[in-house]
Amino acid sequence: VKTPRRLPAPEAPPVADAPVRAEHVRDHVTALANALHLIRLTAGNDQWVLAALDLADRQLAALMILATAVPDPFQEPDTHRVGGAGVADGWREEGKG
Amino acid sequence: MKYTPRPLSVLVVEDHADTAQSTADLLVLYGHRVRVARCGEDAVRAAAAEAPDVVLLDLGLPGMDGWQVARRLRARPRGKQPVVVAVSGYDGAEDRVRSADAGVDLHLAKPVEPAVLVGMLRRFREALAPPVAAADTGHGRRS
Repeated sequence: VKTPRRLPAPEAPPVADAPVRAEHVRDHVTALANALHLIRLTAGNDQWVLAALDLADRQLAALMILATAVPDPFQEPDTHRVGGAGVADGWREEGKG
Repeated sequence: MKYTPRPLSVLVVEDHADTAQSTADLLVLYGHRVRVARCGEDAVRAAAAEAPDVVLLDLGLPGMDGWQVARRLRARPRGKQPVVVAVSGYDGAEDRVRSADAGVDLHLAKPVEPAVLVGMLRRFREALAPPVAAADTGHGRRS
């Protein structure tokens, strides 16, 4: 029975106040797609499936952070940053985000 | 006569740890021999130590970028030339021209569907690593 060689090291979270780069998003989506494929491929092997779920969780967490910083032409320019004003000043709570 | 597929030797060059490891895991499960390099310099060293059949090459790497790696690979002797596939977040027309100029065989934009990657390698495997005959014991043969 094959077992995962090791859990990948956690990726550093996106840098606060850094502009979102498409390549960062694409990297996380790639790893998320790989994780889902690994889950299908190894269904029934708990060790593999749990490792792949852990991988998927990390990518989704990173993508959720990045998603708050995706440029939106209807918002103020300074909200287009990770950890920027768009999250802090409650745009989303006001239904504008 | 029985034939067994020869595994492809794949070098995954990728600085994003999760993408590198999950791609390697995936390809190992599909029967390939996989090594991972996290930067351009390591990739060139790994290719020199053992020539891979296929290099999956990220382009935005720390230090030596993927295009430089491709050029270094293309400088190797003809018999040790791998198939070089760029798998990158860089997807502009200029990026693709740079890839072609650097000797990249195929430029794929991330995210690449795993099934597409696996299918591509299966076809490479059929072309580059044809099945080898397993030891034939001669049982059942008539002379």
